Amino acid sequence: MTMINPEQTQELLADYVLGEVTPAQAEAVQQMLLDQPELQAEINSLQETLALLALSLPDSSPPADLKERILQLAETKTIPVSPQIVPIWRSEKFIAQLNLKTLAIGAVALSIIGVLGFSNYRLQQRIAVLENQNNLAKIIDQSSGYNHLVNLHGTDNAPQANGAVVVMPKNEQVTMMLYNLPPLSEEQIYHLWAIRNGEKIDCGQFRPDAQGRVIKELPLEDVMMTSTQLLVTIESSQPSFGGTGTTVMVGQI
Amino acid sequence: MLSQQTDTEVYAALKEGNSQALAVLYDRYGEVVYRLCLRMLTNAQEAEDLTQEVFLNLWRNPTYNPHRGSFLAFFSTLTRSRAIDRHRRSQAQWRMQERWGRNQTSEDRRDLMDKLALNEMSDRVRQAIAELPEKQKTVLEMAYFDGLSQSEISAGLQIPLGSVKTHKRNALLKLRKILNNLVEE
Repeated sequence: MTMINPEQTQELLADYVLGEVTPAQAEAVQQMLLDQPELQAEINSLQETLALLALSLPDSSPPADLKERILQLAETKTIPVSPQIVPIWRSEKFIAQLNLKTLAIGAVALSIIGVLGFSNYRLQQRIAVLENQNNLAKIIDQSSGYNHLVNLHGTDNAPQANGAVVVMPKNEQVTMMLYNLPPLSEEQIYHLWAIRNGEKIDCGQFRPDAQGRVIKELPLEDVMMTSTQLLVTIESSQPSFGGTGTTVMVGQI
Repeated sequence: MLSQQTDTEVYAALKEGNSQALAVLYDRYGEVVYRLCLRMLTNAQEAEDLTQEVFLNLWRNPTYNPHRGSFLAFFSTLTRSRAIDRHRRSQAQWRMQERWGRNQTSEDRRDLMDKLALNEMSDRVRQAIAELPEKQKTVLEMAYFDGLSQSEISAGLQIPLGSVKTHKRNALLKLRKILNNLVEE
C-alpha cells in the first residue's frame, strides 16, 4: 500500500464524498478510516459542505397552504402505519392529475392496506427488511414496474360513494376499496368494469357489507393496464350480457 | 417550547408522533426542500408534490440518525434522492447519478432555527459559491443539481474528463474552506 501525502488524502476524501472513486478506491478509503478514525471528521465536514449547496438556490417559496395540507394529511390516520408500500406513479399524466383530494384518498387507502396487512403483497415483505429510504426506492423500482392507484368517485346515483383501486402488476392482482356504496337487493350485484377504446370489460363482481364497504382483491386483467377508466355499476345478479346497469362510480386512469 | 429546541430534540418529538414537531421542521426546512425540488424537477407543481411527499414520509417513516450528521444533510440528501427517482421514472433519457450522501458518524449541530437563519445561511453560501472560479462552480452545480455524470459534463462543457474531476473536487474543497465556520462546530 503506497503512502500518500496529506494533500492527496484530502483529494481522495473529497472524491469519495463526491462519489467519484472507483470501488477499489472506496475500499481504500474505508480502510483508511479504520486506520485513522480522525479522518471521519474530514469526511463529515465535506459532507456537510455539500449539503449546504441546497441553500444556494434562489429564493422561492412553496405555496402558503402547503404546510397546512401536509399537516392535515399527517393527521389523517390515527392508526400508526409501519414502513409500507409507497405508491409508484409512473406516468407523467398520472402525476399531473394528482391533486390534494386524490392524494388524501390515496393516503387513506394505502394506510388501510397497511393496517389490514394483506400478507400476499410480496413487496410488503421486502420492505420489512429494508433500512433506509434510498434502498427502498431502488428495490421498489426494480421489482414493481408499475403500481397504479386509481381513485373512484361516486356519480349522482351514489354521491357519497368513494374509494380506490390499487393495481399491482407484479403481484398480478388488484385491490379494491370502496366505501359508502348503496345497499343492494337480492337481484342486484355490483360490477367493476375497465373501459378501453369504448369497450367495457368485466373485471369482477361483489356486494358491499352492511356499512356499504367493499374491500376485495381481484385478479389483474391485462386489459386494466391499458384501459382509461374504471366503472362500478349495479347489474342484475342474474347472468346476462352485462354493462347495461346504472353507473355508480367512475375513476380515471 | 418546541420551536426553540434543536433539530435533534424536535425530531425526537416527531418520532413520538407529535405533529407540532412536523410543523416546526416544516417551518425550518420546508423552503429548502422546496427549492431543491424546484431546481431539480423544474416544475412548480411537481416540486410541491415532492415536498409534500418528503415531509409525509418523514412523518410516517422517520429514519434520521442524529449521530450521522446534521438534519440538513440528511434531509437534503433524501430530497435529492427522491427527486432523482422521480426523474428516473418520468424521463428515461435523464440519467441521474445518485452516488452522493454517504452518511458517516458525527456530532454536528447546525440547525436552521428560523427563517432568519435560513436567509443568513443562504446568503453566505451564495457568496461563497460566487467566490469559486467559474469552471468549478459550473461543474459542481451541473453534477449536484443536474445530476450529470463526469462524461456528460465533459461533453457539455467541452473540457477533458480529468479536468471535470479536478474542478469538482477543488470546488468542494474551496467551498469548505470559505464556509469554514458554517461547517465546523
